[in-house]
Amino acid sequence: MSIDPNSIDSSSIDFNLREQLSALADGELGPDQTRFLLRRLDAEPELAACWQRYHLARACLRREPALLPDPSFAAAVSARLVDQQRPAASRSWLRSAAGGAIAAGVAAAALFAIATPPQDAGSGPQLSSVAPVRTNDLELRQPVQRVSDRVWAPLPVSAPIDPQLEGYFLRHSGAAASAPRGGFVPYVYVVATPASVPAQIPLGDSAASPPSR
Amino acid sequence: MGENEVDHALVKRVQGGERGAFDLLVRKYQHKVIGIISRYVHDWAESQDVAQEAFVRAYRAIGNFRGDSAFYTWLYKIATNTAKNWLVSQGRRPPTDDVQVDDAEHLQAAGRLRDSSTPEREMVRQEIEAAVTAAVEALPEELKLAITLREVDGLSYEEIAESMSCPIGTVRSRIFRAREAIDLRIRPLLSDTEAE
Amino acid sequence: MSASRGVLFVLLAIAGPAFAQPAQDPAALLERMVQALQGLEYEGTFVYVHEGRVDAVHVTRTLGPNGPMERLVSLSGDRREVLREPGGLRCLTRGGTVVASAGAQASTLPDRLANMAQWREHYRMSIAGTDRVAGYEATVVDAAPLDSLRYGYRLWLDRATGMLLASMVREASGAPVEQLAFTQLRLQQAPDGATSAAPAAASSAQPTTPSRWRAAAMPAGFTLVSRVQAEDDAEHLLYSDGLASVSIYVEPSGGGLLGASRRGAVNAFGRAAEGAHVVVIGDLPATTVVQIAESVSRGD
Repeated sequence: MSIDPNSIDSSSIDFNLREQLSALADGELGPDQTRFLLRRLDAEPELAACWQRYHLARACLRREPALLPDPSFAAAVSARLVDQQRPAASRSWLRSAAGGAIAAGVAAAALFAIATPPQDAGSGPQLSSVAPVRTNDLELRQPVQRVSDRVWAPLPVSAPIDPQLEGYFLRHSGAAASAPRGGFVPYVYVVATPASVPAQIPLGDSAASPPSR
Repeated sequence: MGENEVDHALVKRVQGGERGAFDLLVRKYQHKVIGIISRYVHDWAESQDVAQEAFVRAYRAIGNFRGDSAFYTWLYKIATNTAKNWLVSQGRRPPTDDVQVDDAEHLQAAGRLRDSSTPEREMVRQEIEAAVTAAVEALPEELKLAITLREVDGLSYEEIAESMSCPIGTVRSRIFRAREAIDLRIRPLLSDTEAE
Repeated sequence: MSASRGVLFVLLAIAGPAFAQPAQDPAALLERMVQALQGLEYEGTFVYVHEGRVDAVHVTRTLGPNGPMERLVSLSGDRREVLREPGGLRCLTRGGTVVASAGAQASTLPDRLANMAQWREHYRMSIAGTDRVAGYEATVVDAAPLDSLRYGYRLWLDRATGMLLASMVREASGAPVEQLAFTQLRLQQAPDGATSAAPAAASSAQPTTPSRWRAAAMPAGFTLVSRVQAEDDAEHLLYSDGLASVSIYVEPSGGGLLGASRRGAVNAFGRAAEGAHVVVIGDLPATTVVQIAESVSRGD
């Protein structure tokens, strides 16, 4: 939109729209009318220019130190935003979410899940058509060996949780789920209790030290 | 709805994906944001650039705006951070004092601001101020009172209606007509500042 | 990799001895494992041995018309639960409170994983014998890394369906890093109309230009599998060598993991680089993850 809004004859806009714009600038326009008015914005560049001038006049009346921007300022910002994604309610990657609906639903499910292994699969079909094979035997050809020389203290259940860190693992799990060793496997790292790992792992733990840069 | 509520309503729409609503916020606060930026960035062209960047950052971060504070307070912080980051990226140290929002509002920074705009632009600004003042002076009394109570004293339509002993609809109409009269005078001045 | 193909494979596998066992080709067995992990429905409990802990986890996976739903519940330690909804939303809860969530994953290169035969070039694959896990007869496949930059794997795969029953991840030196084994497992094929693919994310998420970022120290054999760009120029690049996967997150600077972190066989490392924040996270030894992270830079 490279039209210079200031050069358009404003009698081209509907009188009513300008009048509503004036009320909106004072916060005195009803929600329905506000909705309709904002919808008209895209079709009427002069509306936005009029809004801009109303606020410029307001700044003058209030003796605010107003700096006159370049006429194309708002359009330039608009152009920069063209490549932006729609702002999400929260950047779902890394911010911890307290989404009410999710929390309520999962919390309710979790109450049932903790005591015994859940038998239901949410909205999915019941796993009843295959005869279950149950066994508590665990036979592995490889015995469980010590994992490292370091003895890790078990993490207290009440230990603080770092949502940002969990977010990284959760997100990577989602990506890795469609990788070969995928499916549920990557989520194991998110759901299993972390061992009390120090923030900086000495990198000389197993293999050679990392080469210096 | 007061002015804060208008901002919050616009922000909600932006969060819902309406870019037009963000455009309104830009146009409402652009002159203030540029004023903030120009305290840190003294070159006009650069301050425009940094100010645009501040709005872009605000757009990206708008999902985080929860409405606990005024939108302008939030925007002000983003603008100052953008300006400081820019200074740091230029290898300069940002000023250590951080003027509070209220102070900035009343800051008679005319001297400092004048340094940063071109003489022509400065003249236009003065012209516009003069035109607005003249337009208000020339208004019929009831329009002048209505617009003054609204813009200078910050009264709501209801409060103005009570003060002027008239219906709210009349208040709304008087304020609109006052704005139209002012707009008539300043529109030609702004069209003259077409980008070179 | 569609569910229908996976289900078809499973049907062939269960149909009878004539179709039961593909040739004893480790790579083919791994392909079948991939199909099973994605295309079957299952419910079971497994133990997970890692970093001195022995944890138990219950998993349920079902397939619907909008993709898979998975739920993992920790039965020991932290009261954690991961839920993956059919639309792609994943969230982690602890004690009933959502701690983190992530949206649907969009991918620009969805077909890349179909051709993961390159794992032959970086692992020495072999059949290590047979065993029994959770009551199922298993074939044991071993993948030994040909360099010390990645892990080795030993995978117990159900002879009938190819489903992963147990796994052991080890360092190149042979020392175990983590183990996982089902103690109880029920399997079934997905119903008609079910799919293992999540609905495609909005096309606006697909970047049109190649990434500016390069990781010079990405080990040989890792190819870019998917790339996603988020609203603030943040990027997520996912690489895989056929067995291991590693993500590189490049985000605007300010915040993010700094230094190293680890969960079992997954290592993460974050650092500031060229005005951005880089986090590398994947099934690789810590030294490799650090090397990759330190080599991430803006290409020309």
